[in-house]
Amino acid sequence: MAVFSKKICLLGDFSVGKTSLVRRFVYDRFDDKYISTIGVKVSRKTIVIPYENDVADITLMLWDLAGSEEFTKVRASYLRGSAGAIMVCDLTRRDTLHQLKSYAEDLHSVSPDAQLILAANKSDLMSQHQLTVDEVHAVADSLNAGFYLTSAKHGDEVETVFRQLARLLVS
Amino acid sequence: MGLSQCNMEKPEQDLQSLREILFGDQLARFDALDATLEETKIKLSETEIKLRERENKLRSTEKKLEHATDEINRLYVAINQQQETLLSELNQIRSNQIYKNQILDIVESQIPNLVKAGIDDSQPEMIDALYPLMGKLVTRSVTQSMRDLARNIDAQMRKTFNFSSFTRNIKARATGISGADIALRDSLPFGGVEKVFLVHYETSVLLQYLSREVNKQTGEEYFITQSDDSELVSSMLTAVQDFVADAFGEEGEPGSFGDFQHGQKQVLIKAARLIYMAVVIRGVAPSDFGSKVQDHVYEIESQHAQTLREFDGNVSTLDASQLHLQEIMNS
Repeated sequence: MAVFSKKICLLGDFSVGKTSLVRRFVYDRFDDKYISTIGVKVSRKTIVIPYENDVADITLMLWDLAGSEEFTKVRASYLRGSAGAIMVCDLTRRDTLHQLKSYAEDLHSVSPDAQLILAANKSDLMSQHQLTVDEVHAVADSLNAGFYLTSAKHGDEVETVFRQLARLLVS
Repeated sequence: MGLSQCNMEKPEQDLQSLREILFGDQLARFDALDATLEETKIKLSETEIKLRERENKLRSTEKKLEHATDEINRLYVAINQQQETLLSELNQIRSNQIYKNQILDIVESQIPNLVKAGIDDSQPEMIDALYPLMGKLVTRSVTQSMRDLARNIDAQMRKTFNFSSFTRNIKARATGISGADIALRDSLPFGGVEKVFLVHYETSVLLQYLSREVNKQTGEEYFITQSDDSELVSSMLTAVQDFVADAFGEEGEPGSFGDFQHGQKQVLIKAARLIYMAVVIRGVAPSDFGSKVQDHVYEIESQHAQTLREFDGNVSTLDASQLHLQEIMNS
């Protein structure tokens, strides 16, 4: 069975739910405080996916980057070597969607071949939504990425996002 | 014989007698000439025959001569043709040689430019090839300087006599280690290697891992090559290195995170261009331990340069480097 280990970044503005997305579904070792202290915290998720008439064991090293601009200087270093990224926006905050383009540009400036997938989070807060599915779809298309409406709180589509990204990384 | 016959024979005899009376001597001479003439005719005939034979032989010889002449002419023509061919080839060779010399002149004049362009085009490969070598050269130079320094210190220590220095000197002579090294090690014991991480710098992926564990019940030592935390620790270590470099380094300044200490443990960080190794030890490592670890890092990068440059996350491609980790663990 093939075994892969890939670096993934979680990108998006502060409080969109990046840390919440990973917390439920990954192996966690370090405290979240590192995100605010050094601007990143790394977690791990291992998935088994179909690969070349067999299956592959793929370990996703999830770099949860601080959404604040305080760490702009180190961001390029943290993005270096990324195989892919989960771009996270908040369905209840419109500006978080359009910011994803600049995050994607930052990522591709240091990792041109990185695969993207968009997670429009907080799908459970339907009464507070400021973004429509079509708007999310349009931005996802412009980034050449797939998208999913996720809820870190309830776990909706979160596993799917990781699994789909993993498939992209080994395809 | 009848009467007619007798009658015919008599005139003949009378005629013959008359001939003898009239031409007696001349008849003899005539007969002699006749005989001679006959002989001559015979000889002439024989001579004619001989002449014809010789004539035939001559004709045969003429034909043979003709054939030989034809053959010689043919060979002459063939030789001329071969000569022309050879001359033509010789001229061709000469002109090729001139052409080659011209090409060589052009190539020679362009070699410096080509080498420079080749180096410029394949800088990563050149650096991968030279980096371990340069690293080893620098390490050896520094090690030699350190040895010279240790020797000087040792010489100074020999000048002062006390009991501890006396026993230390005995130990130094027995083990072949300088007294200065022994003095230093006596005060700072080395507890051994606990963990070794081999990390791909670009992606922070943990390539290989080795950890010394102790069975809490039996006290028996054993080794593991995987753990839940090892990958996270290596990634965070990479992130910390990046943070320190960005926070305290200067723009464009090359550098790598150095060694650091926490309690009784020391973490040695030894880097090459594409990978780094973090070795967790207890106590203080011997003076040459760091350079040995560095040599292993250079060796791994040299052996797996292309795989590391094109690393796709498949860590099993670096399984062969586990031997280096084992050597470090056992040192």
